[in-house]
Amino acid sequence: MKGLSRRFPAGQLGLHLVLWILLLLTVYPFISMIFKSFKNFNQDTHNPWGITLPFHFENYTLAWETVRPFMLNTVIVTAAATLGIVILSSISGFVLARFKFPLRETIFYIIISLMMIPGILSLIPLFILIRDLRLIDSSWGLIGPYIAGGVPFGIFLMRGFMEKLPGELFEAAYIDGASIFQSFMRIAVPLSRPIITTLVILNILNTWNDIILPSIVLTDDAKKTVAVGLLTFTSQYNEQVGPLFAGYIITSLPLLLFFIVASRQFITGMTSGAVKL
Amino acid sequence: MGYIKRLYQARLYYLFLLPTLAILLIFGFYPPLSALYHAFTNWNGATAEWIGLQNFKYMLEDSFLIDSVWNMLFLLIAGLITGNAMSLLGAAFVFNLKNSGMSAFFRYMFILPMVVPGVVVLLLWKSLMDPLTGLFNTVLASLGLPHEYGWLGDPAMALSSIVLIGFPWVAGLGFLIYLAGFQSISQEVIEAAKVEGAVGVSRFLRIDLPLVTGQIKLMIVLGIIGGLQGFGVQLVLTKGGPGSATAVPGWLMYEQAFSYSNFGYASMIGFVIFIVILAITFINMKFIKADQ
Repeated sequence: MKGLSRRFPAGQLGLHLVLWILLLLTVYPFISMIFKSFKNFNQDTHNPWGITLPFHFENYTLAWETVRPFMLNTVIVTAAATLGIVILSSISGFVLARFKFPLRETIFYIIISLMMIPGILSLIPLFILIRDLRLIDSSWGLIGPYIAGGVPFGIFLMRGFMEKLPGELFEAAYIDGASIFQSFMRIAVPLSRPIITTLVILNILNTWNDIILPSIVLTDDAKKTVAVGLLTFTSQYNEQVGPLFAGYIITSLPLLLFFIVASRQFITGMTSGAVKL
Repeated sequence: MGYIKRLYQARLYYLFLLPTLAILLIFGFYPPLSALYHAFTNWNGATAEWIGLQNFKYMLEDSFLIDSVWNMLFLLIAGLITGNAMSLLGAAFVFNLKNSGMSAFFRYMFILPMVVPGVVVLLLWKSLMDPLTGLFNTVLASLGLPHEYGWLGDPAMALSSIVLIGFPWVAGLGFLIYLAGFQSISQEVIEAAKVEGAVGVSRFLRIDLPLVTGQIKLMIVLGIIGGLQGFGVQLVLTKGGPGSATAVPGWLMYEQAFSYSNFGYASMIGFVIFIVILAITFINMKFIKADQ
């Protein structure tokens, strides 16, 4: 007993207890979501929030059929937007960090001034612009604005990082006859991998979760991304809670798995998004 | 002459920047500039007629909009308190665990829910608060308590129900930021506090808390800016209702534009929200960030 109380003094025991309670309250809704996803109508009527047997795995088959196109659309939009942001931000960040030329600072400050513009100001003209460009129900109607939305902070991050790379590496490469593009691809990009990872994760989270832009750009169910598609799905499956919750779980899995594999990088990505201001 | 020559010599650099500048011009700079102009017009999406400050006058007379400002302020302040107080406490508890394995476990488990898509979280909470089959009313019924609450569907309860989403409000960006703040406190400071006899709550109040004031200010400014323009819950769950019980200015802007095609008036609402956010950003940069 004495040994135990030395290992767990009252204060520590209290902390553990409070944290367990908070954790249980935090995760219980998510756990009940898993229980619910295996229920048929009868089970859900009699015991909506507990565990019921047998599990109805067919809910997942049914849900998958419905959410698969949403997932595919989201993956396409997220991948294209993230790739565009990373390519444009790293090239521009590199040029703005490593070379001196007229108007360099002016261009940099004009670009990062966009970080001060809240999305709400741009939303309405953005819709009219997308409509006039005939990009309603097109992935490009999302990809273009997402790239423009992510690039200013991307350039801010990449320039800051690339400025600090040692100059001797680049000078040696130029003496060996490397072009600007070669020094970018062979030196700047490989050395900037940590910051590129952060940028990738930050933008995957932003685009995967965005609801406002897809809700005005996408009207055709076949084109919808997960965030807006789930709303359609919810109204379709209103009575069939099992498949509905199976759909919620399926669409949550990609980011959860990604987080489990790369949690450290994820945390850096999420935190750096906050200091954007 | 010399300047032109320098511009010409730098042509390659401008060429590299060109694709970025082109896409920013179209999707980055044009929309906000268009909003600034169209806020002063009667715009149906095709033709715009200059009407000066008329839209602003409508705003001042729009009783829905004025009510929505109060809803927004209620959600904003409640959100700041719940979000920051609980995630700060949660982070402090996790930071003070002596068992580093358990500390890492709790940290991981409180971050995990943040990765679940926001829409899924909102839809899940909608079903928890369902008046007939929801978890809340079910639990209240099994405890023999009154259990006929309408939650999001009850005009008197809807706003508070929105605040309830995410209870106990530990898992969130604040948790990450505060925990990172605590972890960057040097071990020497903590040892010195121990020597001086500051342990437990007294150390938290005298040492830990003052050292994360920067993070608290950051979260407050982020919360204000997010709260002023946010309308995700309205878009996904309530549509501003029942009635106009949960309407916020951002949602009314969205509705004016996309339900009624009043694009000019909607742009003015967006413009005014932008001015308020800009003012807060400047106050933050001049007075709050300066003393860090």
